[in-house]
Amino acid sequence: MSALLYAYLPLGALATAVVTAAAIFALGDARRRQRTFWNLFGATAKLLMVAAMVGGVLEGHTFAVAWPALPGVELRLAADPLALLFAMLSSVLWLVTTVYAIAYLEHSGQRARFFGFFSLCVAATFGIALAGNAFTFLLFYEMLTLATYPLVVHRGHPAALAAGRLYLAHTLGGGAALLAGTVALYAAVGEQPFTAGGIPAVALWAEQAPAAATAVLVLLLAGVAVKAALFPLQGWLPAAMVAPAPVSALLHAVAVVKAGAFGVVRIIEDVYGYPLAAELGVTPALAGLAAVTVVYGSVRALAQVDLKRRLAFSTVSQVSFISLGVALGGPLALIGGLAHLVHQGVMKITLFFCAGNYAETLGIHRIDALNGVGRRMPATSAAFTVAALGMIGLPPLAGFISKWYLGIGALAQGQAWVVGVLAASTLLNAAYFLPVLRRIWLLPPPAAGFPGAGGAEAHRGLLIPALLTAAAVLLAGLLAATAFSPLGWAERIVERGYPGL
Amino acid sequence: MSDPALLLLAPVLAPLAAAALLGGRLQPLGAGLLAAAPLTALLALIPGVEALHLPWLLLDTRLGPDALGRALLALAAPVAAAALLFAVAGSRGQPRRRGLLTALAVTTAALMGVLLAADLASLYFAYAAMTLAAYPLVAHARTPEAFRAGRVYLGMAVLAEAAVLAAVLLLAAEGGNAALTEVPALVAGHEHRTALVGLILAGFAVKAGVVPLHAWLALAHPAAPVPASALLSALLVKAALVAWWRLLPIGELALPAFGTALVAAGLLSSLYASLVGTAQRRAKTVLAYSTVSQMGLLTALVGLALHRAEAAPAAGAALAVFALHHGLAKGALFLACGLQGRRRGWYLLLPALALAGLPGSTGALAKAGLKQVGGGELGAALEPLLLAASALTTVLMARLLYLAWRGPGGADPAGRRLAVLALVALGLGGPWLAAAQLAPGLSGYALQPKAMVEALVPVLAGALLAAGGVALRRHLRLPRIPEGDWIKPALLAGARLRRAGRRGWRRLPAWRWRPSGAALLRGAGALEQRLASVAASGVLLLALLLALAALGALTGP
Repeated sequence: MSALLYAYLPLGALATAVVTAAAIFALGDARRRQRTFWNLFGATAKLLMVAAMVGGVLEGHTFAVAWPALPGVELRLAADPLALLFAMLSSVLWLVTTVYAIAYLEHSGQRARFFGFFSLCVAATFGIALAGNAFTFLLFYEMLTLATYPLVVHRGHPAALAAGRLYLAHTLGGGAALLAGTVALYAAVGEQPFTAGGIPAVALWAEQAPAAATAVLVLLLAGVAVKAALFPLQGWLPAAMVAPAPVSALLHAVAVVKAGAFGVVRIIEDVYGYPLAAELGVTPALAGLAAVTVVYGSVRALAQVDLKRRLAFSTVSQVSFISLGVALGGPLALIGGLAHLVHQGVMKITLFFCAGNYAETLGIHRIDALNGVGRRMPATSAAFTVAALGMIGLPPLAGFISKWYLGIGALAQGQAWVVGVLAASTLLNAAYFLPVLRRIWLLPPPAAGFPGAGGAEAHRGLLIPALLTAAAVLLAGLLAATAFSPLGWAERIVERGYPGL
Repeated sequence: MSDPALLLLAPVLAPLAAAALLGGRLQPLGAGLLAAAPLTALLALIPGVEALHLPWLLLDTRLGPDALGRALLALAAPVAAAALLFAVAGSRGQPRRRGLLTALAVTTAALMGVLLAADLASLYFAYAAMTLAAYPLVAHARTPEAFRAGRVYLGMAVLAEAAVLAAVLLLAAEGGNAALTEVPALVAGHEHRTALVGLILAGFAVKAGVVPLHAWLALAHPAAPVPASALLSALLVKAALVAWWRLLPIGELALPAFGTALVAAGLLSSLYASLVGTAQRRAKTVLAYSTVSQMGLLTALVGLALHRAEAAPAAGAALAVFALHHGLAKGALFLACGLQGRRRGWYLLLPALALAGLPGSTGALAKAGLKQVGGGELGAALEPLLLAASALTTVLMARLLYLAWRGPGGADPAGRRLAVLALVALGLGGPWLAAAQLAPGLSGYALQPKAMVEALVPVLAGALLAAGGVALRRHLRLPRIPEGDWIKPALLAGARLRRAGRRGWRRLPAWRWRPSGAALLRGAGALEQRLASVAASGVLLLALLLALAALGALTGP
């Protein structure tokens, strides 16, 4: 019995999130305590189950659950090391974000709707992480789109609704591309589980019909590129930052953009396999596009005066490093990209938490209003500083590790131009983060004092999550050489799954 | 965990720990500990404390200073301690004291990290942290002048950092996070050697203050508080030398072109900075230019070692002795400039004479080391330039004494006087001891009658020039050269150019689209919005087309 339960852990973890969502919807707006209990219970239970799976995978177990959905099509959940990287990231950050969101939104309206969809959104993300074939991936990918929409428009004002429309327009379009690609893939090779290094049947098919295989690959990538915010499909992301801070944090760090980037990894590595994707000539184009996005996002971030908008463009830039690492090929660049999947998540979630703290505690949204805020909110500002320096890529923080592996990986592939992109990104990140830090710490606070004077730091529930994730930014870099750091796990993924690279 | 090598962590951790005590009630204790913390650097010199390996930290961290690192640790311990003592003493109740002390502590810790690092990633980490931590020191006064100095400093430093990052990644691609002892050989055999050496030279040239990349120094030193300037000028700039020495293929192979270029750049820096510095009107600016000038000579030493592989050992020893001499003297001079007493000139006198290179002083010793390394045809070409540099340095020091001799008046806390006196006293003997250890024979060479006379000539010439200048001061008008010479005109010209450009655009016939920077960004924003509405339908269309194509291809033959 317990063995059966153990084998069904992927399903259990997914069900936890769905049940949490259902319970929260059923509870309604008023019952705050029960809702909080369910929120935290769901997040903790899921985290424990994922941790159990991590332990199992370390011991060499495999978790795979499959059952037929349609004739010739099955739903498949599988926990390989790559899946668990993303699942672990989403579980940990979900717990932290839940705590934050409770403190942030418990006093506003429509809480049941918010937290219900919040849970559904995480369930979908988890499904994407553990999807074992293209159909399952598509299913949860679409579910994520629908679950996030109510979160983006949560505030309900016209700007939020407009952003929501933009978001839906982009992601549904991307979803259509992914759907078409998946259908074409099934038509060509039938039901095939994701296979590390590429599905053999796909390789065979590509030999017979390279044009069709290329077209389907482009289609699949176009579908996930929307969520990954690759240029020129990134427009929705800066607009979507009208959402409340916890949603932005989740969107930018875990759920949506990461789902896209994760999709790029899955499609290139586990459907086609890097060698085939390179042979079809798609990866160089993807690498070029990712590099353009890196620079474009940073340049646009420079011109923003709204803190969250600047962070949003920064996400556009930073997330593309993941696609870049995958597209470059080679073990080191892939390690860099996969580690950055986690690193970017913890860094960006910290930044959004802090932006939320400034907005919630002092009503500050614009960068030029941050003068002297370091003295008023030292802990929040310290967390912001750590994450911002990490984004710049300053050692010993997480971002430096990503940059190091991407750089040496690119050079190992003979792509020296990437070093130029990394250097440019460092400069641009410094150019748009250092002035913010200067305002926070060095400039004098406004003579009239901050609005809402009196209180000191942000509320505990807002502060502690930010401090925790900031500590994670530091530790992910400082302890990078250990086996359980994001880098260590990424190395394990590549060692186990892609020895052929 | 009783590995004696753990002591290597003390120089990094002690200042940070002391800084952590600065808040709250333990504040006096923290301040006292802070002043003593840099002395832990001496622990790293104990025999048996050689190498520490922390495989779990960062990317497999290794600590363990090389010979140059040890010499500079011996320098950093007293100079940083004196600077911190100066900052702590008599500063109670001053605005932003804790901020200043914390920034000083972090900078010191990072500097110690640079000196101790034995692997590529740690060196890069410590160097970048040091660069960033020095910014609040430069901008400490929070005046527009200080912020401008900070902006110029950080702008140049971050640009340099990008070059360093590229170099570090190029190295890591070949050898992973290599031990620094392996790096010179890695560079020597690197596929992109020329580019790599160029990046290393350019990346650290900003910190080393090679003209024309010295502009930040001339702005930062007068703007920063005195202890910060002392730290910057005596120690931080030398981190660049350490980095060059460890990363360049010195002793591995000769790179005559790069070597000659570096020697030329160094000597020209030295001459140029002495000349421009003499025209300055503030003592701290004069000292800043003096640092540029002296760093030029040190840069030339690195160039000599790069020029001829056989010169490397002697150049290394000479570099250590020179760095020690300059660090102690310059630290003492900057701190002395922060004294208020009417007779502060007496504190300045000895280090100033040493920098001028008076025979028998440590300056003469340092220059003798430089000359000894010279040799060869490059050495022959060097000789007259070195003479000129020595003479001009003497003039510069005379200018300093002229400007700074009389303090504004006021009592100096005992701690501050002690800090200056300790550095002056150490400056008299320290470099000789180092020379006895590192370069046997150098002291004897410097004290030969012939060498003494040779050293005396430029000093006398410089003194005569200076005396003439003082005698003719009513008839002589020094040219007005702004601090940082080219940077201010360049910034002004840039602003003017932008303004003129904008005006020019406005006067042009009304085009529908004007590609100015702001308009381009606006355009990007507008384009994005338009794309937003198009993207969805576009993606859908693309999807359908591709799907049709794919299905067609599938059902085909």
